[in-house]
Amino acid sequence: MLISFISQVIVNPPGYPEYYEPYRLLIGPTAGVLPDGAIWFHGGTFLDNQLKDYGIWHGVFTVGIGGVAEVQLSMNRLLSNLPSYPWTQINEVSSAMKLSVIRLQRVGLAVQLRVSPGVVNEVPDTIVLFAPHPVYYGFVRKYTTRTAYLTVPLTVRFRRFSLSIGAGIVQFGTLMEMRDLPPLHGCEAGVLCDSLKSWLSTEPFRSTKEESVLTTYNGYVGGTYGWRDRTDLLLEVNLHPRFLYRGMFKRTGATGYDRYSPGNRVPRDTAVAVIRTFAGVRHSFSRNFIVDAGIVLPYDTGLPPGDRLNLLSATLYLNLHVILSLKDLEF
Amino acid sequence: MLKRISVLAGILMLTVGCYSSYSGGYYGGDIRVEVSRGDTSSVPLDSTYVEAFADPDFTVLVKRSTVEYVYPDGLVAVIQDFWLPDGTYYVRAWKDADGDGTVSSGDLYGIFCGEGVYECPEPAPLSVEMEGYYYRDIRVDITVKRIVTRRR
Repeated sequence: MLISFISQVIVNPPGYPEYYEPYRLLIGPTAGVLPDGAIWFHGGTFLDNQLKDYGIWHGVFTVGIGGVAEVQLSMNRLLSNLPSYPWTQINEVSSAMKLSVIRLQRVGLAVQLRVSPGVVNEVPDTIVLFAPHPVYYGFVRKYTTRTAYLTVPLTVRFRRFSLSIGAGIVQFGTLMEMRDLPPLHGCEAGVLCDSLKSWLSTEPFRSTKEESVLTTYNGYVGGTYGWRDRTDLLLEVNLHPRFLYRGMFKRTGATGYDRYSPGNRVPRDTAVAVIRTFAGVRHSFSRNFIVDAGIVLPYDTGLPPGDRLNLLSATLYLNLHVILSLKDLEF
Repeated sequence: MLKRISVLAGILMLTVGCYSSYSGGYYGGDIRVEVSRGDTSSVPLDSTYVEAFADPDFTVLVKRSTVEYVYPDGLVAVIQDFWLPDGTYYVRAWKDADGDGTVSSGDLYGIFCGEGVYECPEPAPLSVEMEGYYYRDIRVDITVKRIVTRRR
């Protein structure tokens, strides 16, 4: 019995060798890396309130190299918690590399660096001017954001259980530009000029070309339980920073001048913690096709205490994995 | 075949993303204001103010600018982009020749009388309307006159 137990743990750890295993929880990476020559596509949707804007799609392409590293190229929405006014993202691509420090057997340790060379978000905004009647003037805030995530995942396996914990450093670098502003040239006096100059004085970053750098942290803990032969249960608690750009609205529910007034703007780049609890299931339909489905409950520390935990914010997470070996391809 | 489809599906996952662009609204109009001399005085037109008011009595000043350049003959001065938001305004031009900060005798002074109209007892309204993303050029000719009585 004891020998059987030890062999189960050490020699033949859980996981099903005939099926490929996605080396991630629902969101957070685990310490495993793909076998050499394996390629892994996965993509899906994260149906939170952003769906009413443009929806969220993420797609990740990963290649296993030498059994010790993974290289990823992904298109996803890194900053998925902008307030719910329309915004536009352009060219959101990130790349990542995960190196195995301790090859995942019973225990595994890895280091992953994910960087995004430059995400452009264009957010339409409004200035309220007085001429002397209030005039709503549309302009565009353009945020160019670079991000870097350095994460260290640790995974421990025990029979049907697999526990992963990860911690990391997140850096955001943002350059904000304001486009299509009202013409200030030649404005010397008058209520129009006064209101425009007054408003611009609250936007001290409008002309700077320096990147604002913000460093914060993230972390997660989660695990899987092999419930059936091809089905795992997953639970994950993920702390991820929500990035608030300077100039964005503090309260999105405000209307009229209260909405656009300088007092309702985030004065500087800020990160607040969002703790998401995932509960889901992973099922392997075949050796190559795996589906994740789960529910997500966010706890947003950036909201007023009464709004931080709201069941109405619970969402659905869907992800399809396709894992193949280059050796299997017959082109 | 299934593997080929899965590879293509993966590439599709990678490449499909949201892409759209947005341009901010541009409200109001850029007005080219031409200040033309209507007298024979020797007061130069440089530093002449062009002002837009919200009322015909010229009490609520919306915007004041200074002419940008004067033609070599000294008879015409111009502001190229006198931007105003949507609304109705009353425009005048004056030069504070004596530097007292008010419109007074000896200053150059004129009011906008309407397009193609250069003399009038009362200022004409200038209507600026939203033109979407396009600039709107309105030519306004203002004759500068010498006034002999203090207006206010």
